[in-house]
Amino acid sequence: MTSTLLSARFWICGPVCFLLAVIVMLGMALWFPVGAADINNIVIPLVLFPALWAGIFFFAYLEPRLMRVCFVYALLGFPNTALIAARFWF
Amino acid sequence: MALDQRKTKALVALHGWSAVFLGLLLYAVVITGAAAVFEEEIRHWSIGTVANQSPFSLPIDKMLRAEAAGVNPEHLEEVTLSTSASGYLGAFFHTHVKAADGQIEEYGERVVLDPATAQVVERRTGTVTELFQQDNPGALAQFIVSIHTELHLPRPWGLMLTGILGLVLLVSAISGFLIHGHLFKEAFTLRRGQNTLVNKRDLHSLAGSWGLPFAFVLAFTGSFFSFAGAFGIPAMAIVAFGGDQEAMIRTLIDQPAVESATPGPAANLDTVIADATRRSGAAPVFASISAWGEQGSRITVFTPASGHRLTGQQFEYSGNTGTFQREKPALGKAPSAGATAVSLMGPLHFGNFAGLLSKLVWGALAFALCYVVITGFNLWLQRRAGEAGWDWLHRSLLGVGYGIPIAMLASSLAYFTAPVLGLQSHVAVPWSFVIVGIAVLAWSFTSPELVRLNQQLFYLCALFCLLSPAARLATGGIGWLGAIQQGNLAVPMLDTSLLMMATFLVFRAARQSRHADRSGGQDGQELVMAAARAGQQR
Repeated sequence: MTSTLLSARFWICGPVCFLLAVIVMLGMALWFPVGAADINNIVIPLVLFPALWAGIFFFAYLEPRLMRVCFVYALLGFPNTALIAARFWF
Repeated sequence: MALDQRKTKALVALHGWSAVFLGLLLYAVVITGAAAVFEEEIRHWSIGTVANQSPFSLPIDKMLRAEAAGVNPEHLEEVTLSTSASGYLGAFFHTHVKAADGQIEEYGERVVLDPATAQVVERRTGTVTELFQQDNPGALAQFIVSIHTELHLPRPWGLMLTGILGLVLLVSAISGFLIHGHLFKEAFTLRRGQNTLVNKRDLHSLAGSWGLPFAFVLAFTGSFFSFAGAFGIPAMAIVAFGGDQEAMIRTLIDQPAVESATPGPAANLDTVIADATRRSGAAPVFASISAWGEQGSRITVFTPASGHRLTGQQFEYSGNTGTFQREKPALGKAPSAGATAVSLMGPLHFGNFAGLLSKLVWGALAFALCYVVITGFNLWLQRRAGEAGWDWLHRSLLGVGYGIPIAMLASSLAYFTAPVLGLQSHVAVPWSFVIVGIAVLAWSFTSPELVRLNQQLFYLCALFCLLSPAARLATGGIGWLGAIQQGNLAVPMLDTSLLMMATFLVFRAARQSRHADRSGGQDGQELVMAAARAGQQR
């Protein structure tokens, strides 16, 4: 159990994966098309959240190269975090 | 789908360990969900005397006008009208206030009216939580739903936990799909005459293969409901609406706030409801009036799914003249992919899109999913039969596996006996669940002999199955003939199901007992008992 908790993949597949899925969901509220009803940017990310999480989780769990996982995480995480930050600070 | 050996091994480990850590909680959510599918039937069974006529099909306008004249004018900001199984109309005259935790909550006066006699049945003031959590007649059905959706834990923690369990189910379903490469073949494979482990693996794979699409749908829709309620909607409101949750809700339901404080005429509600009934073909189940008696007032009438429709409809009327404005989409100001996706989530999760038939299918599939969870545990335990340190899991499996159904039955027993004992049903029902659940779990951990415990729990479950309908009848519940005459088929249906279940459990326990005597405990067909024996062997 101790070795599991010390493993980087445990943290990447666990809390970091969940946080990343939340960040992407929130970021989508700002870049996803609103649609004719003005609600798609809110509703679609909420509906897709379980799929987002599952996609990220299985990729992180099955990809043997951890660096590649970190790269994809950064690719998804940074733009969405920047968008959310810009919404509040600018 | 072909996976390399490393990935297959990793997925098998994930499939097993995710279930070992959270499988019992997942079982709790799924088995309570199997019961929650029949919420309406449980409500009708527990209340007994139900109206076969919707209160919306009777004149209500005059009564509501009289009530509206007497309430605090601030509470006319919004009025919601709902129905009850007893045929009463609940009118909640309310405004919106900020609760201690910063959340916006409805506060006002709730009046329960009997349109048949034009009498006021009940009148209370409070927040929506205070008013609706103390629903004594509906306490049993409400509790079963609450234990499924939030494990009866405070918000948002209960929702967060069930959301995580939904994700665990999603992991199990996807990993199960990937590791069982010959899914179609496994859905039809049951090798009889093989050794018991192979046979049990076949049973697990067979039930799992058939239940896989259903498990995926349940997991996806369930985690959506939990996470959206727990943090999704508030978090989206922060990002997209600067934290104004009310503004986001108004955008989603397309109901801009009515700012006018100019008095205006109030439309005749009977005319509006008759028009909505004609348009949808079914009596409404809910209606909402914003800014009653003011210029710009609106009435929205909600009708249930009927005919070929999977979802209900919403009709909007002028609250001043009663003229029809439009059929509203489920969300937003115009039809959209988002609104369609959200409106499909409910029917897919609750299985209520084709009446009792679809509910029976959903309930059966949920029971099959419980079977997959339990057999998965047994396979895991049997493979580790020689290893030390798994006794706690055997005992937990017995305690939770039997404890939750027994506790649910105990809560129904408490519901019927509470009024006789002078207790409030909404208090007695959850407490009886907790006390009986803990007692069964404690018994599982202290019983010296697991094989005998397994049989005793079977008999206890059967006893509670018999006691529930008996208590219902003994405390003045309606008889079968009277219920059928009223059109309340839930009473004979649930009573019969419980009696059949009790008979099945008694026969099953007796068969186990004969098997154990004959084979010395090595060849039992019962999976839970086999796991228990594996623990005994050490």
